[in-house]
Amino acid sequence: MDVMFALTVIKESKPKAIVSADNIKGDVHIRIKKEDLLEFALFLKTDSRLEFDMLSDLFAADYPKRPERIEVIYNFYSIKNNFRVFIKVNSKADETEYPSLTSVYNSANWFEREVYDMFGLKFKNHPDLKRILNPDDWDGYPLLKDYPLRKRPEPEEIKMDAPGYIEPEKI
Amino acid sequence: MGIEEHLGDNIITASLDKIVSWGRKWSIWPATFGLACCAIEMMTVASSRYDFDRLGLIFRSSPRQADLIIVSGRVSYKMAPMVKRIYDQMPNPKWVIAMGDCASSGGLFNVYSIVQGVDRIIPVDVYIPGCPPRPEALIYGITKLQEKIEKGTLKHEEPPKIIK
Amino acid sequence: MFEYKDFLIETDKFALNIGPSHPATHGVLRVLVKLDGETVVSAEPIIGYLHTSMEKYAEFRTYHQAETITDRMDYVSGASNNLGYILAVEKLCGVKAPKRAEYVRVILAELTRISSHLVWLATHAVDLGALTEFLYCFRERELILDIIETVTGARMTPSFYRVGGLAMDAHKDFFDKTRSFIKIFPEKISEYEALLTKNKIWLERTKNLGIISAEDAINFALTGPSLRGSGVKYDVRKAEPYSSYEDFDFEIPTGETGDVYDRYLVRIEEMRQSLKIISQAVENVPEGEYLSYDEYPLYVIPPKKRALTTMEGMISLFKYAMEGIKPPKGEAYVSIENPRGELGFYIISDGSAFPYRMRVRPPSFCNISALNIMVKGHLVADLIAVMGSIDILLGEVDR
Repeated sequence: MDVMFALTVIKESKPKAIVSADNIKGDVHIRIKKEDLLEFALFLKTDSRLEFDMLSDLFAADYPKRPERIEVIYNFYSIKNNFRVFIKVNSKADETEYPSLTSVYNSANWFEREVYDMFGLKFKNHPDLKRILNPDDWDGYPLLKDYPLRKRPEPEEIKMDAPGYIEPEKI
Repeated sequence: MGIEEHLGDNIITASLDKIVSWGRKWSIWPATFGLACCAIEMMTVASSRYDFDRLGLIFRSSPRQADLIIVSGRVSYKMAPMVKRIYDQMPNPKWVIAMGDCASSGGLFNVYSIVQGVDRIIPVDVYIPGCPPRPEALIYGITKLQEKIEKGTLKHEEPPKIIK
Repeated sequence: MFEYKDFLIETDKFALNIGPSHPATHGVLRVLVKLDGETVVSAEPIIGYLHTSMEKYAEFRTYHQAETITDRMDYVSGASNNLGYILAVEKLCGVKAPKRAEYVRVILAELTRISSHLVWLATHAVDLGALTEFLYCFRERELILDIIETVTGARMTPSFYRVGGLAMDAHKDFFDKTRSFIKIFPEKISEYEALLTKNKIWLERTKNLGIISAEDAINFALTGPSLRGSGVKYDVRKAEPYSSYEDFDFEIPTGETGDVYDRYLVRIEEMRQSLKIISQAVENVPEGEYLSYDEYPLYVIPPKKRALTTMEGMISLFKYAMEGIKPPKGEAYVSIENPRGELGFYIISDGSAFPYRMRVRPPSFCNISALNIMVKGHLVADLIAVMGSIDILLGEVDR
């Protein structure tokens, strides 16, 4: 089945939620509001015609000039029907009400932690929101466009006292 | 000629320094410590074609039984305390090989999360260039380290300083 | 004074820290395991010890420079990662590589798949106590690396593809070496299998272990052999064929129960199928151009003669080298079947010579996130078997 069929179904069932929908180089991109996200994802997963059973990817991009600078992109995939859609949601960087998809897809857990780590977007109701790739005490959110590529601490500033560390003189 | 004349052919005299260095040279035990791409090449050196054992190198899984650490790959700021800690756990005398560009100087990855050369945290004896270095390059690096060990002494030496 | 019980440690609830430097974690993975006696209550993977900020770094490099980052990401299967990246850039530019280039790409990607599975089999077997397997697998891996080196000049990090084709034409030696490899390799797979597949110890240590159901696997976005071991027939090469995969006849092996043994069988069978694809590709590789010169001067370099004899050819070559290509504004997503699963590249272009954002959909990242539900209730020693069977690569998990 064609992915355009999926787009038609989505457009018919959720006309209000969709801000815009277009087809870029054969991929369906749908922009929705963040208030509708949770409901929209549940619909995508449970609708018998679509069955988007896999949240294949979740990431963000930063557009500093826009009023809502973080664009979160969801990549839903249906193994049964071989559909792939990209859902885009815009948000402010300091948004407090951004919904988390962890209750719908297990894979959202680590992806959302990564977005938090890299962009500082706090997902509401995430069970374990903490940094995933950078050290816990890292300063700043590296994938934001205003974060310099080479901003790094001096080696003397590294806290060598990892859990259980003993100074060599005391061994 | 001196004392050897009285001892016969079965006894060789040498300085203790030389004998100990010779023994150390042929029994370098590296710690099993892999980081990135170079770790795969390090495994290859231990495998059938290159066969590291003929140089007397046997991987030890515990740093407490090792005297060489091959830093094989990029060291991130999150990993740096662990590298330092593994180095500190090794008994003296100990040596360090920085394998590959990333471990030597940061290499390709001049970015926020990578320590620009492992010599900023621990002192390095031999640097091996390459991204990743071929297994032959690692073997050459080890023979260079052996040359260095051969010149070593039993006397207390100041440990090498970290480059800043 | 002290009594005997004072020297006992509490073992009913016990936290054990494995890694980040541990011989069985295949890199710098750290797992925080909570134990009840010797039974795993929960296992939390902690990642990021090899974080190289590749997604950020790609924004500061031109499109072709960024390719060299991708093979250092999944360093056991470099050619496969390059393929995913280059296909995404090609989709962005609207360029299609000629048939000959596509076939050579397929051969390289499948050779890499075999070599990656060999590394996996070697390390996985060593973890479970079969050291001989390690020596066998690395013996054949060297043959594959020799073939890759013949054509690309590098063993592990080829960066051999260019937008619109290849960096240079594949030499006849490459096909000859590949042919002789195809002849000897099936026998070697039987050799590996003779050591393990019906080995009583191997069966005891892998059967009914680390089971993940198909629903859970999909929910955790597992892909690749980890998903196929659970019986889901999903392979990007069949679902969305790229780079002429539709021309080749091959099967997707699947498991039934989704345990460690099934994942092992799936990977062994995948090596056979890859060999099948390589032999078809080597026999049918068409003659012709290796770079799609129709796209000159926007995305490819001019033919050599034109670059050396004409002024505009010279200038465009200079611009290609100094400025790089500039894809039009837009977004493109391409996913390929990496040895570990579905590897996706999402590239956003703002019309300049640098990617605005490069996102990698990492297969191992998703696969390792399901570790907890796979090992719950098993013994600590089995944790090593499960971790090995997922086949993670920390370079790609942490990027």
